[in-house]
Amino acid sequence: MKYSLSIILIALVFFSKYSFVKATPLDAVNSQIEIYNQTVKTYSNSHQQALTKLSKDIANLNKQKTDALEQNLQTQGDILDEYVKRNKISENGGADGIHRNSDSVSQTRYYLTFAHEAVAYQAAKNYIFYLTSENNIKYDASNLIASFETDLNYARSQVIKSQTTIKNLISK
Amino acid sequence: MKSYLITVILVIILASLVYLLIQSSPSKITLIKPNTLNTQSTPPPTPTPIPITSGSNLSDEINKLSPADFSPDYEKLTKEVQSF
Repeated sequence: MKYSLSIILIALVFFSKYSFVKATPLDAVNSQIEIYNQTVKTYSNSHQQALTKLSKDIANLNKQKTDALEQNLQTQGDILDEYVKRNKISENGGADGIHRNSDSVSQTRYYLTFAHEAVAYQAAKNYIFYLTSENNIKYDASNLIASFETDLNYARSQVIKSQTTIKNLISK
Repeated sequence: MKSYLITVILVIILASLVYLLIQSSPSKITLIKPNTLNTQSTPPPTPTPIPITSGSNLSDEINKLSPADFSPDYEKLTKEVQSF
């Protein structure tokens, strides 16, 4: 009796994970795609095609721009490496591996790394329409474009910030 | 009766710990499903970077890197929406 009760309790705790499972960003994206797919089915064919095309165009533009920004950052890294080499600057990446050095090269590398991360984050983004109703299709589509524009401009601004920091270092 | 209760409590605590360990395990990380909306995308090729050589003027090289304004691209998307 004692053991059977214990087994039941263990089983209850384990099965509870199916009812209290944590929502992840992946779940959020998949749920958004599911909602979009269900809603768009009720739209006219021409609107469905227009939304699909716009979605592809946004994805293509995001890929194209983030690839270019990434390429830009690679060149920024090459320039910084060349600057370090020419000036025979020794870098140890922080004495304890945790705290950063406060010298200007380390600070510049920090902004470069930050920009890399911002661009990679932007490249991984999925843009899914939040559809309210077919009458609002233009408004819904414009909302998504505005959101994409804000995000991509942020990634671009980080690339410019990194470029400015390297420019200032070189001109010293 | 007392030992029975202690056993039950211990089992619950142990089971909860195992459950929490499983929940926080890295093996739970799953790959993001590809966006079903964007499977047909064919991105254009990216330009090959010019290598930075020992003879390069670094100030000139860094000044060349200013990323272009993306506004015309957003405008194209906005125009596409107006044609809906």
